[in-house]
Amino acid sequence: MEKKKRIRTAAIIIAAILVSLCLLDIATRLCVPKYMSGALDGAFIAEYYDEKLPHDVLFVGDCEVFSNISPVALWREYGITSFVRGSAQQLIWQSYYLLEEMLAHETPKAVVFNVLSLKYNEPQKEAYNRIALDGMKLSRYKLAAVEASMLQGQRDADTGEVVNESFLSYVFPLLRYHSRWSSLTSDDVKYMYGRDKVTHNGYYMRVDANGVSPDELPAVRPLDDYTFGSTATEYLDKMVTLCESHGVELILMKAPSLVPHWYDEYEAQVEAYASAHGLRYINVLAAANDIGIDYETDTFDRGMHMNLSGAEKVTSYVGGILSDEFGIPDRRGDEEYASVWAEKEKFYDDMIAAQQKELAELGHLVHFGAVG
Amino acid sequence: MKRIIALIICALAVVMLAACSGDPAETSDTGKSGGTNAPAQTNSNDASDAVKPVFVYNGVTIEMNALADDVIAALGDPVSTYESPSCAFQGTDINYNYGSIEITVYENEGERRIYSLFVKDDLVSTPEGLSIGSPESDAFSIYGDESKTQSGNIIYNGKGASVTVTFADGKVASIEYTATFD
Repeated sequence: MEKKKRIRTAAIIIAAILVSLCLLDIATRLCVPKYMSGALDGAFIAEYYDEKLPHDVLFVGDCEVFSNISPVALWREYGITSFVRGSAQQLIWQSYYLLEEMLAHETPKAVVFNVLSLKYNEPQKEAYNRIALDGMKLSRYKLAAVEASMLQGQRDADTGEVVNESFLSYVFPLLRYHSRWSSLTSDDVKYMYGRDKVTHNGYYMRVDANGVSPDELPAVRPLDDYTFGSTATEYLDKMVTLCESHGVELILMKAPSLVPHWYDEYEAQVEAYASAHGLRYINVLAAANDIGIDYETDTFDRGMHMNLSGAEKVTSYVGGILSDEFGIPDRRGDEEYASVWAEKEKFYDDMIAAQQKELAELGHLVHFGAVG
Repeated sequence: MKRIIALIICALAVVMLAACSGDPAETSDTGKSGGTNAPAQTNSNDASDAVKPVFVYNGVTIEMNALADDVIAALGDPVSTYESPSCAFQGTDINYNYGSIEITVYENEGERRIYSLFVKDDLVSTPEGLSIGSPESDAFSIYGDESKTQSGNIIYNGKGASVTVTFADGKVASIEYTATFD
């Protein structure tokens, strides 16, 4: 009798815990931002987990990879399989841990790292941290990335507020987002258990053009110190070691953009680093004229990010180097790959058509992350 | 039994609320936005007795972090403007070019404020009389040797703004005011 009572008590406790956990899970799913309308960039990082086949090239970096490299275009022209793991102002330590996570699951032939983020030596802004880290699955890589990224007494780069982020809130996002309960939208319910795909293997597409001529740009402002910080350099060293340990070729890249300005002093440091470590450095910014980049037509936000036209030019150029110099294989003859990538091509072409239609009807994009 | 269940629920509630008081600024998806990509500069010189750096252009006094619209209106039509979206497509910095100076305005919580002022040529000078091409010694006599950086330039950390002065060939090459958050 006593034993039965104890079993019953234990069962009720277990059931209560399970119910509580279920409620917590539901509340978390409901309250976390979905990034399915308005700004989409918080949805980019998680899309990697939907991939069915491995990749021969992984791109990591900030917006200069997710706006400038089109894996579908790379596939179409060269048969190269690739994925872009980038988010807004993604810091180098975030790129490092995302790369470490990917290399735990696959071994590509090459990794391409875009170097713009070397200019940041410390966390900048909680919102950017969230965009990069909330989409990562819980793992030791995520925990390390959180540890490296949290603002701890630093000032937010925009607001100037002193910010102390909570480690636990990255593990249990409800701690961070519970206050959203009063401003939930239909998206929060609709996307609780699954989100729409918004990128093309990490590439963020925009077909609209909002160009700029060089004489419209703000004056270049000299800096007091151009030296890349010790933390940024340390993580580049770690990236070199990580790639070496996996037998993966590490390639450095600078994407074409007019804003933010890429100083000659930055360029000299990257060239020296690449030379000292025997790395190939692809400076697409320097090659922009040669490959036909026209900042009047190939950017959607006045020189900061490439639109589809610009991204496909950049991709064609980088793909040629990957194919010719590094012998990245053409997988178009492989039926398994061809079938998976055919779906990706369809999604790509459908989105081009949808964006062009909206552009023709309204004169500008209102969906597809075109906010601001 | 009810007490046990209540305890479990309370424990979970406490865990959930534990970090509430320390919530940082809301993320982009929860309403906060901004586009100023450059971080606020801080430096080692003591700001306790610092003055508030201001610039005067065409009779208009320009303070960093001041509400921008009245200042921009008083300055008249700019030669050109450049809108610079943030990396995350949230918020926009607007750069106003007035020929001899450029002013960058940022948005935060629905307010437009002045983030920076950059002196472009030697047709204007600071209220203290410093201009592009002034001797390096003039700059140090204004901002003090304690403002000298490791690179040999000046970052003067004033109230609500820093002033960065760079040099080339012993002369002032650039002057920039940037909002700081004291």
